[in-house]
Amino acid sequence: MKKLLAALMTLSLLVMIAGCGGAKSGGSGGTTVKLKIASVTPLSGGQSTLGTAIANGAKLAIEDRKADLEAVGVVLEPLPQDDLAEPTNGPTIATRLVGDKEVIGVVGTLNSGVAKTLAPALKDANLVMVSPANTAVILTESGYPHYNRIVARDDYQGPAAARAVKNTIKAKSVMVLHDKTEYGQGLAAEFVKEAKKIGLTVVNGDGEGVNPKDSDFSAVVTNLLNTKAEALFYGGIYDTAALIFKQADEKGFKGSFVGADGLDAEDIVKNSGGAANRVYYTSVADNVYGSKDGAAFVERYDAAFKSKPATYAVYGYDSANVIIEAIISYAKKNPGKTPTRADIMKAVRATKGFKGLAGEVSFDNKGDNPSAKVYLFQIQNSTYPGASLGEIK
Amino acid sequence: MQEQLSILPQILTDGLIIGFLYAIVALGYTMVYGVLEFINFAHSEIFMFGAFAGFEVLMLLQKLNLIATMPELVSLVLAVLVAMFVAAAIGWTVERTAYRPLRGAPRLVPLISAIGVSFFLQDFARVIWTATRGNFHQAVPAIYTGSWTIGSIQVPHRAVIIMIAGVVMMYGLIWFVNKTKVGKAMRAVAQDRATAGLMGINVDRIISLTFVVGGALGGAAGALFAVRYTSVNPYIGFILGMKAFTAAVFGGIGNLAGAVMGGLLLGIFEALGTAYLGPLTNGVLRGSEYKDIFAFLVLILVLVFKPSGLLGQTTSEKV
Repeated sequence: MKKLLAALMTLSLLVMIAGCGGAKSGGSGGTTVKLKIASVTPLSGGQSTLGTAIANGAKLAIEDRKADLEAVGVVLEPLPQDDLAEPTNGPTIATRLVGDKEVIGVVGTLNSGVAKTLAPALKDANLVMVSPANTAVILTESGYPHYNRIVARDDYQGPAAARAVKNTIKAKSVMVLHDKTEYGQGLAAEFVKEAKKIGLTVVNGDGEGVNPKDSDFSAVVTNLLNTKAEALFYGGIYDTAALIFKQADEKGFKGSFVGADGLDAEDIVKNSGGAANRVYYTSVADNVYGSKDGAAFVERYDAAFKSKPATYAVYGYDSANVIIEAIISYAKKNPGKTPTRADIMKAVRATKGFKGLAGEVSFDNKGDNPSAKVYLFQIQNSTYPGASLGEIK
Repeated sequence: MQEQLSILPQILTDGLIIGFLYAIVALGYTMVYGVLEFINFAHSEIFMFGAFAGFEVLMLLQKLNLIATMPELVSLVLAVLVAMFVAAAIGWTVERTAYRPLRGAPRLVPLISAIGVSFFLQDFARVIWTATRGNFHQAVPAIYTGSWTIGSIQVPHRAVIIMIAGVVMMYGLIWFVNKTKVGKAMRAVAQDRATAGLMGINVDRIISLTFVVGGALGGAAGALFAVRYTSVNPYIGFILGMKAFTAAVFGGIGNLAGAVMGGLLLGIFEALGTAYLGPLTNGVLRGSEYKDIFAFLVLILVLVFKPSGLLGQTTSEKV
């Protein structure tokens, strides 16, 4: 037994050493410039469906632009990192990325909470971030020169969801729950603010938080039925949302379930049982897979990863492409030269009118995308993705 | 307030249902503690494996198209039995590999080992079900979907299954420990390991058996959980395990009836707190945000005012 333990420990030590060695292979030489684009998303844990979609989207972007990059003498590699959706992992990952001299840009994060710890740690290295998903308002209000996002902020998505509840779903009262994270709570707060403005009744004050790791939501569902609210808004991610929706449906709640882009994953259909066809969610991309380019993307994604892409795959794809564009335009102007991180950071921020799969991307001086719009989707016939009900005005 | 009071029966029912779930998980904690005076923190993960085993059985039955054709009871019993078997095997393995080599070690050592096993099992489940099914968040095929409505109270059939199972498991275990020969040996080992050994009891076998029975209990609880909530993932054990442990301490750790009582009371406290904290504080404190705090508040109060728990006897510390 002891021998086995010793052998196991030696083995794990070896693996660790090998891992460190692999990450360090630095330096560039010759005429080709070797660079990496990292992605920082949860690849395991409850939100891995979304995180993996982003990482795969970024991989696909690098694969698709291989020829363009080689033409200007750049070899680009993906470097997926797993943050487990835990903000505490931000600084550790930042140290790893800053230390790897080939890393020129970061696609990520999925969670605003993680971005809040990752972004400050990458700032001094001038390592550019393009987030495919962060919505917390503060991230672009902190004056970071390296932080950009392609999606709409909480103070745009939350109010849009509130207007959708009133105008499209036509509910008069709504119960607001959130998962106590940077993303969920921020979204819920903005939802409540707008709801009060447009005369939509919120039955539980400013909304209340639930523990996203819990399995039993019977008490909160009893409250929901008791208040006779016509809709339930949940600020959070699909895994917990599906559980709450299913338990509410089983207890006889007949109203609608509403959330934002955190619900935009196939699992929301698979795991919310009888509630699925009453689930509405907002997204910044309108019916991506309906277009010709979108359909081609789904095909390539399926061929490469053997699964159907969540909408976040497209955001990951677009985010990586924004960085790739910046690299290509730099390489064209300075052939054979290795760009510094600051060069790419400036080039990304200067992005204007980039035609992505999900929509147009431009960055203002804060790093927000003013072209981001919000669309409403409804799950129909228990199939994902949902049917688009159009842009929310 | 009138409106708030009208939902009281439903809230008590909800509390009772979740309480029974705490109770059946707490039984596993309390039984191992009773024999070894050691808290098996891996029990929550054994429970989780039981839930996944139950899920796999139901998936298989669904694939063979048997769920719709067979009586629901057969599916349920099959799922629970397989889960008990799998979880018992894991319980046995964990004892053999992680606890037995440390039996002579200071008390903190096996405790740390238990926490390590717990993390290992969590990630192991993650690896297995990511590899085999692509995602470790899985929806369980639904059986017993109906519910009874009594006045304003709604009771799902699945919840009643958990209640019946809880009572059966408690009485079965009490009978096993108090009336059978093996149970007598277990109690002897619990009282004095060395003397029990001198009396011809194979101590190692009895301890292994304790983990097998404890594991089987956890497995049954897991399968029942999978049926009740129709959704499983590798992390379901964590919070539930903490609450069940609290329930076991609340009722008096080592006491089987106490574990059930502790579970029920904890479930009811939690449900009442979640529902009424908001209205009572005029919306300042939101009940659902403080749901977990009730459980741990109870734990602290019990430890401060009645460390032996509700039904526990004050025993001399054996550290």
